[in-house]
Amino acid sequence: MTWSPDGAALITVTTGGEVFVRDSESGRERFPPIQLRLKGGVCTASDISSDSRLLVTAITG
Amino acid sequence: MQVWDLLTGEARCPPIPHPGDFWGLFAVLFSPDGKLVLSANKDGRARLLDWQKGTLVCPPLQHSHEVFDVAFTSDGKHGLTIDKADTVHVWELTTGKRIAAPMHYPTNSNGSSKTIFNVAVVGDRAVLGAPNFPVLDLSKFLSEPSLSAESLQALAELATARRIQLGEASSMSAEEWQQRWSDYKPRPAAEAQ
Repeated sequence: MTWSPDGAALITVTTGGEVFVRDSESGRERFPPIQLRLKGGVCTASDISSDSRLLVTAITG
Repeated sequence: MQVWDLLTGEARCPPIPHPGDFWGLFAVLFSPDGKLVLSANKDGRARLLDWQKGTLVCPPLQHSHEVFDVAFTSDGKHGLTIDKADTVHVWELTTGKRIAAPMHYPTNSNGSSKTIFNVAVVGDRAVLGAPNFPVLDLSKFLSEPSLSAESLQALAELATARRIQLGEASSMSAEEWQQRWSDYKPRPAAEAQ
């Protein structure tokens, strides 16, 4: 679980390979969860760009 | 590896495959401008990728052990990596070459180590995720050489074997090249003083 650098979003990654992005103030999901699964892999690492607009995910598989 | 839009949830690039086995990727990190991603890989390499093109920006950064974590300097020009042997490496990212000898950080007083998994850069310092959080001063690696314009020109000519004048470059003869080297060749320290 991590905050975006601007503090506006809270990002959580589940062991099931889903990424949830929620607005910090409302707690609502910005969009349906991102599905990371690739050949049955899961997310092992992630990062958010300094402008809080991009998310990079590392997926096993 | 894939990049997503945090405002819409849409993929910003196709999945970028990585070499190695199932658990091949240990860390990914955006460059300060967000255009590049540096990855730490189990196959002993760190890779700097242009994620929009899906291509390498410089040759893979080769290690002797698995690479656990990566970090950028604040200007994005250099990268740091930490490997399974508790060794820190500092790289010039335009060329993919080391700019300092690998630095081993034994984490126990008897010289043995517990694995260091993380490295982070704050200003001109790098902090290692180890007991007592060792700090590495990066300024001594990243500072500009204190050479005169004439010396820099001579070094550039020696490095390229070309004459560099008024923004132009032309080939130097072997005799000129040797003469330049003879003129520039550093004197022994005692003589220089």
